[in-house]
Amino acid sequence: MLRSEPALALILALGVASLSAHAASLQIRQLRIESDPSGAEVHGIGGLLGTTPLSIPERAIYPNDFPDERLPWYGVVELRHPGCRPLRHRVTLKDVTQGLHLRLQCTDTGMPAPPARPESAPGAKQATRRTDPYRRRLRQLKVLQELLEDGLISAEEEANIRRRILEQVDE
Amino acid sequence: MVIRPALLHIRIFSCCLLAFWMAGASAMPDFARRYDLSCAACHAAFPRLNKFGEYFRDNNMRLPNWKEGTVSGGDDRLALPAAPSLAFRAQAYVQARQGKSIDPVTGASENANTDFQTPYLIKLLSSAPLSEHITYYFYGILAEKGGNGEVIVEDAWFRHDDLFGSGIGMMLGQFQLSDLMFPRETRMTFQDFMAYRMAGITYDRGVLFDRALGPLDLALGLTNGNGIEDNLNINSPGYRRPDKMFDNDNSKTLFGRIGGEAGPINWGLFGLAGKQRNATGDAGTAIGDRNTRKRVYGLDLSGDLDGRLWWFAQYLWNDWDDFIQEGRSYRWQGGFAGVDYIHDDHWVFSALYNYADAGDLAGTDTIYEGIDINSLSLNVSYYFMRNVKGVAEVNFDFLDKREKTGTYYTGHLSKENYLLFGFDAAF
Repeated sequence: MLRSEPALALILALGVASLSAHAASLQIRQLRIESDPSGAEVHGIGGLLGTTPLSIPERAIYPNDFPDERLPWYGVVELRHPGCRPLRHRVTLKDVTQGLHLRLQCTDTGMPAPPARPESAPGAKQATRRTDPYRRRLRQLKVLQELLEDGLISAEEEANIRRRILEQVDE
Repeated sequence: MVIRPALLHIRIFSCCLLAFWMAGASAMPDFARRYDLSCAACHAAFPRLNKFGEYFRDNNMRLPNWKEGTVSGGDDRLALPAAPSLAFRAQAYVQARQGKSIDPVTGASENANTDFQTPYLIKLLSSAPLSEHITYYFYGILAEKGGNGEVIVEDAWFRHDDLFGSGIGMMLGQFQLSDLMFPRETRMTFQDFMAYRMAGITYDRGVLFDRALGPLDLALGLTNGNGIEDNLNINSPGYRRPDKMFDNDNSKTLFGRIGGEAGPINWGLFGLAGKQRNATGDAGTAIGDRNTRKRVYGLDLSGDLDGRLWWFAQYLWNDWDDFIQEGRSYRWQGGFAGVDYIHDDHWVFSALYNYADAGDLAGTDTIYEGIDINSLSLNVSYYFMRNVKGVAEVNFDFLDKREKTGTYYTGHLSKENYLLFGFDAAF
């Protein structure tokens, strides 16, 4: 019969050895993001994360702390590329394990296409169909303001587009 | 686990997430499965919640799109979880210790300076939203701390987050009063928040109301005040009736907390007024038939630095009238303080300092002399996966070993130093 002290020592030694080996073999989990076209800016809860293709730590998507006003960005990345619709995507567990490849919708005019709905928002599609034009315009105006703040469009372009959106509301 | 009073953030949380979090999220791995999220979304390091995890908890443990994973069969008054919610937590430890099992009456002792505590517990957890405003949560523990053949249900409650449209949340069920301060289940150390256990403010059955009021969070509750084990027959009509009495007296325990934020510091004031049965018999090990007055007052403070280092501190002042001898007040105080440091995705370092002074209970020749504690626990957790960790903990007992002074074997008769290794997993 084993005496308890040697048995304990053996188990502890095995545990420590196993843990040390495991520590050496593990890498912190990264989220790989690629886009088509590449070179898109990737924005997240912490601001600009880089341009595609890139790998970012999972904690860049799910930080332990963040300013309250950034809550809408939690777990979300948005890809921005000149001439393409900004694409917002909620990062799922599958994305983290398999990587993320997003195709942007781009136009030839060099003008940003109208804002797209979040790709990962299946419930949002039905909701959008049901929403009235005023809400849709309001959303467009908000995205327009965001594009202006991010420097993707000029103030003049913003004013023109804003006027067109508002005229549609009046109709 | 008690959902803390609703914060102003909740409304912001709901509005913001509704727009962006439409696809179908805790130490509750079932949330991660249901919402297709990494555990990292809600935990800085399981079981410690991060900021978003706290939002989730305070939002009645749901995301705005909770209905997406439900089955209605075309009935808009039905939202059954597509599959019953179920998650597990399991712990196993091997420990070397100085503490002994001593019969306080006879002094007979048993000693195991090394111990395989395997399994330490197996916990089954379940929680899901049931309606727009109602969520349930419960867990049962199999073979807790070696009690093979036993099952105990601890947290078990329903919560409505907006009673009659008033903005008042109401939890009805079985919960820990101390969860209003620091939930024991989300601590990082093996060592417990001892002041809560000693003050008897853990599990009870009752109701808890909460509401945000400006910058303050208010919570007020009533409980039976006798814990979660009484189960008395109702036989006054002669033949025993099928119903049972959960409470054993006519008094209820009233408790509450008011809290807020002062810059980077979260603060809270806790108060409790109730009754408890007196201690009697040899070494005070028996429960008497006198209802005695009990008061508890507490101050809790906490905060974090950049989501990497969390700190917390709890002070409790206790006033137990007539608890052992009639006409005498027994006052004692205690508390704890700790830090959790998230070094990276694999390593977390924690420290917990427990202190309590038995005060008027010292020298009573009862087991309550053992309220004295002065210890520091240092813990290292290594995360093999987000949900599986290896733990190592060492406890330093700063109290001196004391010799028996009265009739009974009470007080700090042995040191409580220990060294522990093991696994803790949730899946």
